[in-house]
Amino acid sequence: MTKIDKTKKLRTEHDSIGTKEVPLDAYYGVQTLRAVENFNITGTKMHPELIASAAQIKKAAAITNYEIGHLDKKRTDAIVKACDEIIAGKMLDQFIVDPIQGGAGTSLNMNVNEVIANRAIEILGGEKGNYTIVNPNDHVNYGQSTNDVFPSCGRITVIKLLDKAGQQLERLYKALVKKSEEFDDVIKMGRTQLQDAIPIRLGQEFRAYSTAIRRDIARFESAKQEMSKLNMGGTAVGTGLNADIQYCQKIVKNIALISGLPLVQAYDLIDATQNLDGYPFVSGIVKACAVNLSKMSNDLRLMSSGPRTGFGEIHLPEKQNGSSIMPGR
Amino acid sequence: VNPVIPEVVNQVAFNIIGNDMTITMAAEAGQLELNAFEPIIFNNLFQSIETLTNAVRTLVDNCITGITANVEYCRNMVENSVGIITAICPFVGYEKAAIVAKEAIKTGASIRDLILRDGLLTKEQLDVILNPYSMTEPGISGRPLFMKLPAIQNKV
Repeated sequence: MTKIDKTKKLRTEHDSIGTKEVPLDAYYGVQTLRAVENFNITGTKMHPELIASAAQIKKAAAITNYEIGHLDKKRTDAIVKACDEIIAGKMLDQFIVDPIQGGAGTSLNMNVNEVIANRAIEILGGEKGNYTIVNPNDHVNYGQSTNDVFPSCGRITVIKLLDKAGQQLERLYKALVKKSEEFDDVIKMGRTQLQDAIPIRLGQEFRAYSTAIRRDIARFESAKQEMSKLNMGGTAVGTGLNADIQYCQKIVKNIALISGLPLVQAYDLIDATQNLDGYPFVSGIVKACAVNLSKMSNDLRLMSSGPRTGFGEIHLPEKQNGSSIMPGR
Repeated sequence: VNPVIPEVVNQVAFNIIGNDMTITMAAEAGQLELNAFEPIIFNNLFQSIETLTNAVRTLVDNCITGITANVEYCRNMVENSVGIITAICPFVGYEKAAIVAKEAIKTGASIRDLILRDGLLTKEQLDVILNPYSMTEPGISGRPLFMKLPAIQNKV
């Protein structure tokens, strides 16, 4: 049982390692605090989008468990309300574990479980830390394992971030097409290996940049598709132990419904739990885009070099003083 | 004034390329039923995608949209280049073209002036051949003129 010391504003929680004092007003609990002690690595916090995605999964899990009769209505409603608050961006300061952590993401999963449990306890009129009302492991994490929750919320997050990236790439594509039209009649020398070659129009060069970005946009779409296969329902090793068969069949559909994303369950949950080739695939797509952007940036730097001793073919907008010592630069 | 926006895009790209190596190594390191290294995969992949997004945003807003061309300078570079001899080559033949090109490189004279001096083509003909559009599209630049001219050695 959790002991509360109101004068010190602390409550004492216990886990299988032992006991630990937790700030009385904290929504996280003992397992989160242990992770903070163990992993003070980057000095940064978990990505807010990852937290929101985890809350969407927890909400879907609670609803699914309720639908199959494994979680009562009172607890379900409280958990769902707590999740909705997190999805809306509340309690972000309660997610304190380092993004780089040992344990395959267990610390993040438990941080989320504890915050949701304590908020749900509060919603039901209890004192934080009274896990008989809502338990982080037995209720919030019911039918789940870190090994299916963490990969799944990571994938959902990647999809959301790729979506935002795609929007900016779309803007870049349009800007480049516009420039290619504007510069359509600007004749200049083309170069191969930095040696004079034959003429080309500046508009054609910008058109080529836009074509490369168009290709990146299409690749980002396939990256999103790659990330849309979740291993939820597989629990610890993909075999689905402790997840009801009905839960297994419903969980991803409910996550899709809640997130509004076209998510599907992985064809082979055991494969999806151990093989992470999808990430190098997506990272490779992002890298290819970065390579295109960097090549274009190199060209822009070269073409705008000067003003008197460089290529001097284009001007970039002047954004800030170039030098602290050289006047006029 | 420095090309600060392309410079920041370059650096974001370098970091993404590094992250890709980390992600690849972490993804490779799975054992049996689980790969325990998703925390760093996510951390770095999120960073890659998000920094790329922000880099592209500033590239559009603070660079691409405001780029202007040094039109006259670019045109002069073409006029004074030796590279345009490639467009003239089908009309005068490779051998003569090569002699003109060599002289241009050696003396700094313009291809146009040398072609006119040697009476190889007229000013009007050169204007047609060296048209910016036809010179930068597939085929022989000034093809209608090419078809009308008699007996050029390379003509097919």
